[in-house]
Amino acid sequence: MLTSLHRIIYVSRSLLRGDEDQVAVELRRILAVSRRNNASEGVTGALLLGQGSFAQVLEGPMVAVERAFERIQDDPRHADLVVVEVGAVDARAFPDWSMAFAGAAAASAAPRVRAVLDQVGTAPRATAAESVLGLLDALIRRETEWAMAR
Amino acid sequence: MICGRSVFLAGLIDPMDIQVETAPRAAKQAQTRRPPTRQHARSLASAALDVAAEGVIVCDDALRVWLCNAAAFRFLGLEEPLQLRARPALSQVLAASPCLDETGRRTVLAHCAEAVANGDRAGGEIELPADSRAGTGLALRLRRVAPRRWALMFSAARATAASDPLAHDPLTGLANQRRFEAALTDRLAMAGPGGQQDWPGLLLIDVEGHGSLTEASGRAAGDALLRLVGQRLRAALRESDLPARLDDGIFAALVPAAAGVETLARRLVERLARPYVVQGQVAHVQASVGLAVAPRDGHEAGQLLHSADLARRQAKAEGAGIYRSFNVLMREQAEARRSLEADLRKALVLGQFELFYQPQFNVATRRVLACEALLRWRHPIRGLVAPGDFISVTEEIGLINAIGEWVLRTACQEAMDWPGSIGVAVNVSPLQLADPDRLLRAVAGALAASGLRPERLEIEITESALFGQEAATLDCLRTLQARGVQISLDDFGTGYSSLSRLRSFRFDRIKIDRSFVKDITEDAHARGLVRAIAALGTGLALATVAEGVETDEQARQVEYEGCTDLQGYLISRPLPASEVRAVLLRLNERALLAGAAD
Repeated sequence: MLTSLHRIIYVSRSLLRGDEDQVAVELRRILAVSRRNNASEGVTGALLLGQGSFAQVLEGPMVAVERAFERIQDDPRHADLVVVEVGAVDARAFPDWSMAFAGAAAASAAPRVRAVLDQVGTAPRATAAESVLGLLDALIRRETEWAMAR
Repeated sequence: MICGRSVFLAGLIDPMDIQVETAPRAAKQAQTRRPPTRQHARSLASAALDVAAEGVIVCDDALRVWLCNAAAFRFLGLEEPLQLRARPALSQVLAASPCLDETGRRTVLAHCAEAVANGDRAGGEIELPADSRAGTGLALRLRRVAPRRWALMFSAARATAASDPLAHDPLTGLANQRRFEAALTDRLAMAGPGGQQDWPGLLLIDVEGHGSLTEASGRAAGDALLRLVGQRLRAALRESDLPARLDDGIFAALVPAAAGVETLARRLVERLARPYVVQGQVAHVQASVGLAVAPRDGHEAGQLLHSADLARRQAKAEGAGIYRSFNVLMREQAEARRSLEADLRKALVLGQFELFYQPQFNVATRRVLACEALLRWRHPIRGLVAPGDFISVTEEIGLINAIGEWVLRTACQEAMDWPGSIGVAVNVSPLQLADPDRLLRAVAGALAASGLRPERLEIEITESALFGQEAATLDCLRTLQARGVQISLDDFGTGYSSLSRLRSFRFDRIKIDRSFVKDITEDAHARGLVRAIAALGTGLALATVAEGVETDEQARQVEYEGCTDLQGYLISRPLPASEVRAVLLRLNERALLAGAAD
C-alpha cells in the first residue's frame, strides 16, 4: 500500500509574473528542483503551463507522490489548486520522465488547453482526469517530436 | 540487556528465522520449529525486542531490510507492517516514512552505505535535527552485529530542547503546550521597556476537518493529516518563529516580533486550506486563526493566550477559514456571555421565568380561540428579557429541554383558568424535537398534571425543526396529533418553506410570518404571498394564522385574502398570566356584542 503505484493529477492557477523570459527562468527553476526531488524518490510525471494555469501529473509510490504533492502545496507560486484525480494506478503514464514539460506545445494548442481546463470545473472527475492526462500526453509527445526534429 | 540482545541477534542471523515480517511472527514460527530451549530464548528475545523503546532495523550489506521492530515502525511513523519477506531496500523503507524528509533520508542512507563500505564494526552515530522536518528529531546508531548484518537503532535525539519528550507533541514533532507556554513566558520576560527584545505576537490556529477524515478512514489517516498540517505550518513560518500543537486540532505559532503577524495569518489561512492528499485520498481542512499581540493584548503568557483564544473563537464563529485580531470588545463580550450563562443556569430554580399570552382571534367566530404562550425572563438587574436575547444561549448550554418542560407544564396549568375551551399554543425548540421521547413524556406529563384536554394544547414548531432526523421528528408529531394535540408550523414563509413538508405531515395550522403581514397594505407582493398561503390552507383544509396584525387595515386585508385567524397588537398585546382571564372574557363578550349588532 505504502509503496504501491499512485497517481495525483491537479490543476492550479499560476502566480508567475513578468515577461516571457522571466517566467521561463522561474519555470526552469521549478523543473530543476522537481526533477531532482522526483528522481531520487521514484516519482515521474508531466507538467503543463498554459492559459495561466498549471496542470501536473505525479506518479510513483504512494508516500513519495504524496510527499511531492505536499512540497508543491508549500509553493507560493500558484494558488486555487484542484485535485482532479488521486488513487492507485496499474501503470505509469509518463514512465520516462522525472518531470516532462509542455510549454511551447501548450502555447500552440491554446484552445484545447482552455477546453480541458474548463472541463476540470464542470465535467465529472473521471472525465476531467482523463482529459488532463490525454492533453498532457499529446502535448509532451509533440514537444518531444519538435525537440528531435531540431 | 547485553545478554538479551546477544541472544536475540544470535537467533536473528539464523537463516531459518528470516521468513519473518515482525518480531512476534518470528516468535510464533520459532515455537513451531525449534526445540524448546532455543525456542524459548528466541521468543523471549523477540518479545523483548518488540517492547523495546529503541527502534531496531536489521539490514544486510546490500542495505536490504531483514527485520524491523515495533519501535522502529513508530519512529518512522509507518502505519502498517512492510512485507519484509521480500527484503525491501532500506531506501524504500525510509522513503515510506512520512516522518523523514529528504535530507534526513539521504543522511541516513549515506551514513549506512559508508559504514558498510568501510566495514566499520561500530558504524557510528548520527543525529537528525527536528527542524529538518525529521519528525521529532532522531538519533541513529549503526552497529555491525554479525558478519554482513547491521543493526540500525533509533531513539529520540538527546540534549536538545526539541527532543525532550515532555516538550514536543509526538504526532507532529512540534512544540507542545508546555514548551510553547514556557517559550512565550521567556519571550515576554525579555521584551518590554527595559527588555532587549521586541514584543512577540501569538497566533492560535484552529483546524477543522481532520475529524471527518478520521471518521471516514480511521485514526491513522486523521493523524497523518494533522502531521501534514504541522508541516505546512512549519514551512509557512520563519526560522525564528516557534510552531506548536497545543491540543487535538489547535496549533499555535509564537512570532518573536509582532510586526507582519497579520500577513503571516493571512498566508496560513490560505496555505492550510489548500487540498491535502492523505493515504491516497483528497482531504480538506479549514483553519480559523486568532491573533494577539503583546503588550496590547496582554503582558503575560496566560492573558495573551486567552486573548488569542477569544480571537480564534471569533474567527471560527464568523465562518472558519479566516483570521481575526483580538480586540477589547471580544473580552467584554466573552465576559457578558459568561455572566448571561451563569444567570440563566440559576433562572429556573429562582423562578425568574414567566409566560405571557397573546390571544389569537378567529375570523369566522369573531372570538378568541387560543393564546400563544411567550416566554419572558424577569431578572432583578437585567429587567424583563425577551426570548430572542437568551433562547439561543439556553440551547447552546443544554438548558432548553428543562426550560421547555417548565413552559409546557406552566402553560397547561395556567390555561386551565381560562374561560370556555380556549386553547394554548406552546413553542417547541428544534432541540426538544431532536429528543422525541423526552418531548412526548413532557407533553403527557404537562397534560396529566394540569388536567387540560389535549385538544386545547397546540405545539408550534419552526420549519428548521424538521431538518435532520426527519423520520423520528415526524413520528413524534404524529404521535402527539394522535393523542389530540394540535400541531402548527410557525413563521411559515421565512425559512425553507417546502410544500413537500406540508405533504409529509398534516399540520393543523400554519402561521404566516409577520414580515408579510406588516407590508400587506402597501406591497402587492406581500399581499400576493399572503393570499397564496391562505389559499394553500384552504386547499389543504388547515387554518392559517396571520401574525403581527397591528392595524384595522391589515386586519381587513388578511381577512379578505382568506386567513382564518389573526394575532397581533390589534387584538391584544402579550398579557401577563394574571390578566389573561379578564381580557379574554372582555374580548369574547365584545365579539358577541358586535356579532349581535350585525
